[in-house]
Amino acid sequence: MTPRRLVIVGGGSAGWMAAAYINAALNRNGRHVVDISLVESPDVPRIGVGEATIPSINHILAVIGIDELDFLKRVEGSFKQAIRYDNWLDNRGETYYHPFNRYHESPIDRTGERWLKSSRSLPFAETVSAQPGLCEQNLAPRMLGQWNFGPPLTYAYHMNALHFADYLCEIATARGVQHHLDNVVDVEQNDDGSIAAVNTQGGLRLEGDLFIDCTGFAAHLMEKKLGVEWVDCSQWLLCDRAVTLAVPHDMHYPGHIRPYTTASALSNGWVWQIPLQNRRSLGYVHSSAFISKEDAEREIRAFEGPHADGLDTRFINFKVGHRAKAWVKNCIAIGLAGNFIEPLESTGLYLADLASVMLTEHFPYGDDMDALAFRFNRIMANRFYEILDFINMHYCLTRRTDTEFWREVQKPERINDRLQAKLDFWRIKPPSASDFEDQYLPGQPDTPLPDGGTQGDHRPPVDTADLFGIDSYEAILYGMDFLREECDQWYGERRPPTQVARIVAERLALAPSRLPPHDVWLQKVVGMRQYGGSGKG
Amino acid sequence: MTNVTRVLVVGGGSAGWMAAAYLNAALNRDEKTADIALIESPDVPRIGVGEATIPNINHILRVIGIDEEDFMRRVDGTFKQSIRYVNWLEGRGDFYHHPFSRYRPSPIDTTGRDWLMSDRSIPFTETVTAQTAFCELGLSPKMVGQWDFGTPLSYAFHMNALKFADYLCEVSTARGVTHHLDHVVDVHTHEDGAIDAVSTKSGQRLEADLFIDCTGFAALLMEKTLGVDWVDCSQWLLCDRAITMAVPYEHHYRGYVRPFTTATALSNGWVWEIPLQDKRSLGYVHSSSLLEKEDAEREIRRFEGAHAESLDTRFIYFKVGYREKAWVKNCIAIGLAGNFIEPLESTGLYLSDLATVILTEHFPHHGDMEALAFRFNRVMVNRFYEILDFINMHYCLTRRTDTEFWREVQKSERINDRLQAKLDFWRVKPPSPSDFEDQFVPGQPNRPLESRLSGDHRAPIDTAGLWGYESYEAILYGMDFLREECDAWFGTDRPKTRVLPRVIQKLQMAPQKLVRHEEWLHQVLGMPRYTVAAGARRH
Repeated sequence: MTPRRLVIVGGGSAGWMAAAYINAALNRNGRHVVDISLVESPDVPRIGVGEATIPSINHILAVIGIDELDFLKRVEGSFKQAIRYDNWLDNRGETYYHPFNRYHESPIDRTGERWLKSSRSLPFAETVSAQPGLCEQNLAPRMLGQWNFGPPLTYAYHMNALHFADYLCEIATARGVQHHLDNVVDVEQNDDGSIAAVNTQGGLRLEGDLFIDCTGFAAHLMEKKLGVEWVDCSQWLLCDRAVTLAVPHDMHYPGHIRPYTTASALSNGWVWQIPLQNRRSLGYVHSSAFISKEDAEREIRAFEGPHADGLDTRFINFKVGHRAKAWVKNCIAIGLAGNFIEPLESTGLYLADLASVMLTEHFPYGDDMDALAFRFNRIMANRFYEILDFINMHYCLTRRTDTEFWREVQKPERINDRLQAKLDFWRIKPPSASDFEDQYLPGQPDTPLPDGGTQGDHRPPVDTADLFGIDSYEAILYGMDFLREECDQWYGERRPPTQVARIVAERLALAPSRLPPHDVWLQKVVGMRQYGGSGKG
Repeated sequence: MTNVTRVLVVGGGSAGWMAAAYLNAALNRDEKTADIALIESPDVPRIGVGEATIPNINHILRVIGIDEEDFMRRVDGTFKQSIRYVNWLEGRGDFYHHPFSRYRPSPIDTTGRDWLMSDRSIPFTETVTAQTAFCELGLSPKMVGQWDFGTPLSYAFHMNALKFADYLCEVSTARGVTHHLDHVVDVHTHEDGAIDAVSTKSGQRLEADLFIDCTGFAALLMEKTLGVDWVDCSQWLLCDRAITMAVPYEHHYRGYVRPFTTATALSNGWVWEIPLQDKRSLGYVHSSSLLEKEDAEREIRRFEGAHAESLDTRFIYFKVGYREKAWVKNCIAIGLAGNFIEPLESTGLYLSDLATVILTEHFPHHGDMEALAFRFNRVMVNRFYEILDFINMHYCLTRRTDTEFWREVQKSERINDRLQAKLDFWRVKPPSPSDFEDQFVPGQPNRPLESRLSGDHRAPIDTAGLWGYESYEAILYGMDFLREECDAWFGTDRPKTRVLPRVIQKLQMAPQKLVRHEEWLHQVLGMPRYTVAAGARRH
């Protein structure tokens, strides 16, 4: 078989992840099925902030063959076991966790039902997972020595995304991916509209059978050349800008490294806190229609404290939506060129990694790509809307009325019809496992996707719960105090006290003797520096 | 606190008793939320043959709280690790297995693609699981002592379905299910069409909030009372009759008890062989329009051999299809009253148990049923079509042309559009995991289900709730799918097929760990040692 020629245009974390993953996944077992080259501009600054991931990142690392400790050292990485949501419900200092791990009862898991029938005096996630407790104690999800603490704890990472791209570039080029630092000046098309080659400022002509557009929101190939439209979804997620800030541990070290991402609701959005080995990365995600740049900057500085005054801030603009088709002709958009959803559940890198995994499964060994593109687009659309609706849910269940922003996100027109149908259904029957096998619930619409000038499949997307199943839904719903009134009505107002699953209580009791503090693990195992504590606990 | 909902199960076959036992165990666990009664006629003979299950039966047993060994003793049970398909491809002694366990390499499972790129000189399932070989060697999936052989093997059971129903009756009545042996003579409906009560021959009036129709194809409540139509699916599965036979080991014992179900293709259908502890149960599933009763009887006797001449046979009639809505008003059809697909993949009991499990999840604790029924019906329809298409695939890939039956099943009008779209797609790209996240592949229709009833009629979606890529690969590659495509894609000179090293290791260790199936049954459950018939074929 003659190797297929794959040209990746753009070299951010999406581009390099695609290059490294596809190369590792397809050119294996002594087979060489694809020649990959990546062209990236030396001039375009990469978008890169501290980035949080979800556990699917471990699949990417395993396929590429990356050693975890080496990875952690190279990307200033730290562990992430959960997302902690602060002030989303009432803005009175309340908190809930969405942990990666939880305990399930067998043969029928009744933990959700039992919590609903209890006094709800403890947060739901704490009754089924040790991870919220481990997070509160800032413990690592790994032991210093050999693991002997029962089933492993699921985790993902916080990392510096720019370092990650550089690291993947080094690995991929060492294994045969061609790297061109050059500007694309022209895109040549074949008679049928597919892309034939890209020409660069340096006089190179890169021909390919397949092109991946990783040029970010600019979408040089997909939008500028192929005219594939962007489907805007800002109706359901209002935030379109972030102001970011990095707090070096040198300057201000809180005395620990949180083994989780924090998402604190502010006046017009929320701020992420992503702890790395050398700093904390912060970003206030907000809606430009509701808050000015000046006010947003003032608010994030106030959130961080007086020591933030001297730190630089940077604004990032984004748009929630997706390319009408992510694969058209012989061109595939991966990363921001293909879709974007705000980072509340850390799905940015995930959508790019999913696209690379799906492209590997649907790799065109011949020139007939229509059927493969059809199916690739279907899966990407399914997953996009799965994530969109899930994040939509984080906002619309709030009881905050302190600003116009929080009043707006509760309005019916801000709640996706698919999500609304789920919430209505769950007010009749609390969520249970089989709800997640497809998204067709009573009252759910069956409207096709906009066609964006492209041919192919426009059937309504189906939520197959590939990413967020019942565990995740229960964490958010019950974290947001869902079904409070319904429970009073169904089970009466005097209910037995909430109980923690015994296995969870036992694990928590043992944890301090097994798990080191997160910063201690990072210092001892991957050589993180020791910083002096500076106050704030 | 919680309301207690009154449930009346009408009909007491394995579907009825499974529903009663499971609902009682699942709903009255922490507190009593359902009062369950079952009425069965003393007159209606139960349909019951040797029955093969799939591994989800273990969920049912665990929820009810049934001890495995006790269960096996009571139902003449044996282990099932696979289905062995004989003569489906060419009718020349070819066979393949669909095993329950297989090894899934991480982080990417490319075993299917690796096999396609090889010379296919070893059957696919043998490259990814030791279970196929364990079956051929007649080994038990469990050790006699404590298991120390790595990842447990998945298995299900063969059992006597009548004894299973009796056993469940005993378990559930002991735990508070009320049992009425009486004949339903009338069904009383409310003004809104819901069922209020049934009255019986002995003059009882049994009221309930929820009625479960387990009256079989007769569908006393769903069809006769509520008028819910049956959707016929015989266009895609032609078989509508079976002739059954039991071969007691005392009459003829071959010297072994196979740890798998055998499905052997005959002239106009296929015959099951289900080994129990005291007999083998056989049934020739065939199409009545293509084969006379006499010919079917002659063929199954010849299949079994000379010793079968004196054995009784019995005909069973069935129809492939489903109740348009399995839950209407306050009535739910479970078992044959709700749906039927021929037993090729042993899904009969599964569809009943699924209905019971999904009903538990959607139990109307607070009265309002419409939204719950909508969703219950959706899940059941998804799963029904998933199974229908999967079984359709077993037939349509045959290369047999020896009878009209086998020529017929290959015709395009006998292949469901959904399945055809999948097969077409897989001729472009071999099956891989993400194909199974929903069934929308190019060319697939998106027609709503036909209906005169209100509710959800959107096209069913195959969510691989039961059959994922591993099962599809077993059948597709067992049926030699993509032979020509592989030659075109990868050339005709391809490297030898390799078995995963982990599978080889497992096979090498097996003789020290696993005993023969009949030996396990004897040592652990006390199955008698039968005299091997003279001239019996050794396994």
